[in-house]
Amino acid sequence: MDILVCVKRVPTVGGLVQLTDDGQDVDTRMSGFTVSPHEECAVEEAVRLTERDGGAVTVLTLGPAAAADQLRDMLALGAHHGVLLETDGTEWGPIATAAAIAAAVTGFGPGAFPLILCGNEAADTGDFQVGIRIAAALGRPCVTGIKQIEVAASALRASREYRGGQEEFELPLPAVLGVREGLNLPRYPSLPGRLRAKRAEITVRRPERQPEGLRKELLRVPEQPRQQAEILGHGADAVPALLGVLAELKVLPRGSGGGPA
Amino acid sequence: MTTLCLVERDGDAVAASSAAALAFAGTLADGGGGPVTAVLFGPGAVPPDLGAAGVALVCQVTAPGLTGYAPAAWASALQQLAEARGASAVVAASTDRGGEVLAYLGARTGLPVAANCLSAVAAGPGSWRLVRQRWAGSVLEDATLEAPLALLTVAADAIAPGTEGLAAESAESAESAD
Repeated sequence: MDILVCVKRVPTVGGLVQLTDDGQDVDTRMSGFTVSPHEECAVEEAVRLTERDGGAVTVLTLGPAAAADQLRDMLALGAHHGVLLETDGTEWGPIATAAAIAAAVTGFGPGAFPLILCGNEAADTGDFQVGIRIAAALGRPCVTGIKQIEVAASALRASREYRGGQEEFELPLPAVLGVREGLNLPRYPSLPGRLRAKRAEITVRRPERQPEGLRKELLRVPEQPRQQAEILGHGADAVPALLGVLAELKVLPRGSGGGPA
Repeated sequence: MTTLCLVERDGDAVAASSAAALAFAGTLADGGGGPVTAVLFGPGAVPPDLGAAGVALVCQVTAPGLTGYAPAAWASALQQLAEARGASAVVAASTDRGGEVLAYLGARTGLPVAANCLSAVAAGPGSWRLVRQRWAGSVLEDATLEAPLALLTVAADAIAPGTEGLAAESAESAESAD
């Protein structure tokens, strides 16, 4: 079975996100780009399914020309083909993204990609809707939050967790699934995989952008509670206060803060 | 004009995330969104704590075969309710189910869904100024939403649920057409 996996190029962010001066984007001058863990698991699952049952994995992304890097990362994990829906690098919302992907799938011909996998939600915007919108545009069933997949000839079983329980679904193919991190443990790319990915040809298409009514105005980092450091003292003079703090933290028994020996 | 709020139940009570969504919906009501209509799906008792959550009306959607969770059918029913009541907004908690149902509603209507909202203020007919979370709350986005029906999911830490409000005036059942 041929499987399409949709991934999104997002900045690699640490604990404190830095923004550009105009407040329009995450500042990536000192960081790189990646795809979300959900999507990495989607690629891994697709590769496992095709290794077992045959078929090919096509990984698709919508973004600037540089997003080909993320496609190559996924090709190094075992995906067979890469498709870049190239944009000018500005942010596309879920409506425009889903419409472009659905049009690309349709362009591959009837019956293309019986299974489409998406990450459950984008790591950056957390919109939680591209997969469902793709499914609606293509007239396919869709389930999200999936952490287990079993594929048969013309149907699949998928399950997800809900409030400590398990919800199971049977879907006819073709279908769309939104998958979640934990579905599997993605492999590390092998050296031959990296070399193959470096040489692989990426199919590039330039989609039309559909307008949508949600417009980003400004990004900002919320104020973090300031942590005040207290200087206990300097040199050996600080020891009594330090012992007091350690006793307060119950690292040392009370009464042991009598000062340096 | 009304604001619809999808209410998920936790046993016999309103789920905490939905209580926060109701409180959020109440802020829209104060800003011209109209009274809050709570929408519950499936049989079962209406949670008694809805009355304390500022809900003016409760719609319990029941239909043969609609006993379990069915996001596409729930979205269809919400769309019908929104049209029938001239709703200005549909609000749900940013939970797996809330997000999924509103995504289906967005797909059905072709309208945008603003996810993980912290606040929304009406800025004119069909226009809203939003603050929403990105990067799981590490970044905030000021955004403008232009849509005849605002579809909003509410971030988990957007607002503390209210403890006082209008008592539920009435409850009614609506049957989903599909």
